[in-house]
Amino acid sequence: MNAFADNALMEKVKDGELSCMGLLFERHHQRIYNYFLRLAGKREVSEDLAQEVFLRVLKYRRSYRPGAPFEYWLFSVARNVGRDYFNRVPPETPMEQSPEAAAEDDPFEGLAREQSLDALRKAFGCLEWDKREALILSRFENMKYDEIARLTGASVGAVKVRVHRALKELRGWVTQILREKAS
Amino acid sequence: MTNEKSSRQIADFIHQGEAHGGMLDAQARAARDPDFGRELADAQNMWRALEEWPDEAPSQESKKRFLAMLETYEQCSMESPARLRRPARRGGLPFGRLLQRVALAAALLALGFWLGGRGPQRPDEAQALLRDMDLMAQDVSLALMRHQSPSERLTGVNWAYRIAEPAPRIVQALLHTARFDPNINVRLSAIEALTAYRDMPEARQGLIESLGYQSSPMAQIALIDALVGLEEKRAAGKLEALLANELVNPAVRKRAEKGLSELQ
Repeated sequence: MNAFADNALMEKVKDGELSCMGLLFERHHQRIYNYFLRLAGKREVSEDLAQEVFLRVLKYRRSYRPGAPFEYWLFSVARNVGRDYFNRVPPETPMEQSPEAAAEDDPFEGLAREQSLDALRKAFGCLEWDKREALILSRFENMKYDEIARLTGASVGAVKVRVHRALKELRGWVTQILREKAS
Repeated sequence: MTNEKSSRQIADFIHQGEAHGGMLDAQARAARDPDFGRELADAQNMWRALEEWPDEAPSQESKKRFLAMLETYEQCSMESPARLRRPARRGGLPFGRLLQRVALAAALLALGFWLGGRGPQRPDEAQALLRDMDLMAQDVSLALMRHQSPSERLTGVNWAYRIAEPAPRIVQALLHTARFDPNINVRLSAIEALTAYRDMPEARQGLIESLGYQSSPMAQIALIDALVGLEEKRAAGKLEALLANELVNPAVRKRAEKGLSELQ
């Protein structure tokens, strides 16, 4: 095994070489921060939560199984941290039903990048928690559906359906947000 | 309305189509079924649009915070086992000595109760032992709260729960921790510990004033919850000030609005 691979470093952390945690933090901090940022939409909260993830990795280092994929373990910790936080401070409640986008609409047509991004960020916050998470893990973390299924405890089929529905609803929300802005 | 089979096919196409050979199947179906084709194109466009959403870099401050925490964590994990085993040989660190004293006092207290149950009643002695225990718990709590390591400071805050009659110095130490500790978990625990001192006016007043010191949304929400739980109507002004601040996090704002309506 590469001595600087994540798993090898984590095994060293587990054995008491805590300084190796610095390198793991360096490698994964930004990903974990962005995971929370897309889930919660708040920078300060995301920084606090990302810190908490690495603190828990240190605290529970003895529960790391040698050879287990580090990233998977890290995201399991991140999910728990997120769940604990959002149980106390629920994310903004999504609307009951997402608006349907008209079939011929291309919501982003003719928009500047910043405008599209702004609408996208707002629309993302309207999605239900599990859809938001499935989309983040597949699109931004590039996880395979079966990996997401293992992480979230859902079936692979359910994850796929969640991802497609999330995209569909996202399109509806983006269209509505842009329409409201224009009117 | 797209059925689940179509959803699965579309999800495979956009994310893993080539790897799973699902791309050709989906394309062939799209050619036969225009509705499916439209769904597929829409999903693909949205998937591509998400590509435009860049990652953000966390602040440099958060990296510094973590590395400082790691350094102290490392130092303490190297020092603490020996420190706890051989306090006298290492120069008798206060924490080790205090733990020994507390253990001794606990043993004496247990013995006192046992004797008290068998011999003549000596409530004054039992009371004195309880007072000693309380004083020692206060010393332990204070020593730990001044520690460099966040985990030790957290332990110090937890010791505060064992104190039946906290001296003002304990309340002051907890308030200082709740406001200025660099670690959010330690700050949250100190806020929680202070709410246990609901009968102490200085703890209540201190919690109200602490709202002005917090910038972390987690700590702000914990304080609002604590003050609402204490039915502390004097906090209304601070909550209004939070609501007037445009930079306040929306989740905090929501909680402050709710808290204010509950207090009024």
